Amino acid sequence: MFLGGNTAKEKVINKGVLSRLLLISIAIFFGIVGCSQNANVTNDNWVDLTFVLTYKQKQVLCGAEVDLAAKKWRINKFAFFVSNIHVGVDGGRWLHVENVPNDWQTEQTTLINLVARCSDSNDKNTNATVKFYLPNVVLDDIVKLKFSLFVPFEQNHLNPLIQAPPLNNAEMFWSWRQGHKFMRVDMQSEEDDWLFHLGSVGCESVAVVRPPPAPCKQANQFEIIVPLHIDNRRLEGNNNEYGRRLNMQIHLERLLDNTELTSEQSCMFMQSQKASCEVLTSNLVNNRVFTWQPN
Amino acid sequence: MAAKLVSILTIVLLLLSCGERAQPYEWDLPQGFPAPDIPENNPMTKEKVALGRALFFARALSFNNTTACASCHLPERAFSEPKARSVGASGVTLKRNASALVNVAYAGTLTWSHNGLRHIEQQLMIPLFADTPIEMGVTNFEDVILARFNTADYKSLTRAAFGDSVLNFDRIVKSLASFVRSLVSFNSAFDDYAYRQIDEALSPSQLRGMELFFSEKMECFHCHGGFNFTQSSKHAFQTLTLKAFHNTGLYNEDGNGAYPIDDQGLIDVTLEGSDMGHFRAPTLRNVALTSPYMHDGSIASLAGVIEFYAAGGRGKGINNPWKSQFVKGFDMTKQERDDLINFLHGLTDESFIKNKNHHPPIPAPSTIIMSHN
Repeated sequence: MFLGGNTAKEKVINKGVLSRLLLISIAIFFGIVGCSQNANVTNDNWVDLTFVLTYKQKQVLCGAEVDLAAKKWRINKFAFFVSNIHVGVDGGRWLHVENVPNDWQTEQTTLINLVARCSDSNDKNTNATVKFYLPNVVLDDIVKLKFSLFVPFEQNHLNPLIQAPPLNNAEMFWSWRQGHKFMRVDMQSEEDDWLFHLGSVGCESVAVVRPPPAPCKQANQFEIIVPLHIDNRRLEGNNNEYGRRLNMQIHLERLLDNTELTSEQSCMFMQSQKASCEVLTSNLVNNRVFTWQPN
Repeated sequence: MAAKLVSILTIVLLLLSCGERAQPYEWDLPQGFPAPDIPENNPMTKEKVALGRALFFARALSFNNTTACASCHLPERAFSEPKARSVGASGVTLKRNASALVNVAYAGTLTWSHNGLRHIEQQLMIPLFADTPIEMGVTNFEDVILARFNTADYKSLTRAAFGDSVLNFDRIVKSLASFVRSLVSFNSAFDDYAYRQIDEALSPSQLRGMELFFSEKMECFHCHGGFNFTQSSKHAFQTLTLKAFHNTGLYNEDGNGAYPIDDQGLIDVTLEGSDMGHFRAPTLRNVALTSPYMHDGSIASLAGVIEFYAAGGRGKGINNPWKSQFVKGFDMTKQERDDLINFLHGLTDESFIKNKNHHPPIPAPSTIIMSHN
């Protein structure tokens, strides 16, 4: 009956079947596609690089106070951007890695935000981890890792409104002209306070809400290289069989070495703060502020 | 029969797959601006905004038919009011200055000092139902108040918004929240300059003031940062809730940082000592229209506010141990002060103030008791 020469009744029936099929198809399509969201990326060969802030080997948690120069200091903020991660393998080769995009990182840049207010201390307000895809290399072959504390110039001075997270975070944004604060440490005692806001300076643009057409004179982009030793490497299995977690320790006391904690000795890259900024940036690169956390 | 069943199934699946079928609200946002984050249980619709607008201006919503939301949130003042502290329906003076309602849809937290109120639907319960002190005084008058809205006008508005004509306080709250969310302001001279790249939008004095505003010398942008000029801001593709509360050094009653006992800020909610005197940095959009300033309306003018920050606080408050690190004081010339004030005037959005949709509907929908309308 479907081979031709259909009767009028058969045509009506066929029409009815086709209509039903069409309706069912539409229903299934909208039922599936309707308002669903993309599935999360899973089952990739990724690594969690987790930062742990410590002071004299003790982890600094929300509300913790540290004793410095005979005063107790609250750490109100400890945040920084991590970009341009490479893993180094035997033979001196550096392999570039790409992040797994999420609310805290683009493909190249991650915001690490370690200290939140205790009353706000939920996972939404802190992030300690860079999640990146491992390139075509066995994890055990990696002997060092490098990353930069900065936001790439191409993204650093864009309108933050139209940037993907975390580059739309107002707490870490100076202005179109200066771009982001690459690192922000805010500390406070009962009598005084101390701030370290790292970012590009010497940026020229016609107004503070206009981006500079050329790179800033003092970009303040610092690269950190951390050697890995097999014995010290922490590899923890995760629920995902391909995933691995590596812990990176941040030594606050090494960052603050030879620094006087007073508001006058803060560093936000104003001319009057040149000396204190030089000490801090030197510590950042040369004083082993970042190391693998020992087991 | 089978065809009918399939048709019904299709319609049901279509409805289930895409949620409510009411008219979606169309945001009037400039290109590039992110949409606000809207709670799933109260999607924006034109009809709810319309009902909320009518209710916002209705005095019948207070227990004694004297006070509307708009009594303390005046459209011509960017929905703030000129009184230092608002007065509730029973005549009692409240402890705080009425906040401007500007881009509230983007607010990360609501009210002057509460870190748990993240949706307008939650916040609205306070002015409606609080009894110490009374604002609208709805508690125990729910039926009386609802009866006032049992009119053809409100039945029609309610039916359009919710599918039937039954008005209740859940629907009142959802509609008011929708209207408040619709109060979006992005058409200031600053927006023209910064986001629409119109070089002539700001005067030379305003440009100088903008440089000062974003400078480390004056530090304004640290607390009043982001596109809403407040750190307490959140939108559709931003999940992080920023630190919104700061102690600005207004008070120091006991030398140890205490604020006046009747209002000590966030500490009253969190009971954390370090939250003493912490209040939310409000948006500065339309700030020239929203005097007096600070949570208690204790500073009358923009010039006064700038002088307050230049001094690093007020009186003993300058040495408040809980004061923000960014309130340090600074030197400024009169020209710099004037430039900064002029820049703040550049945040005024005249179209927001004049928008007829932000004013009472004309004619006002009828209520049963009209004596105060």
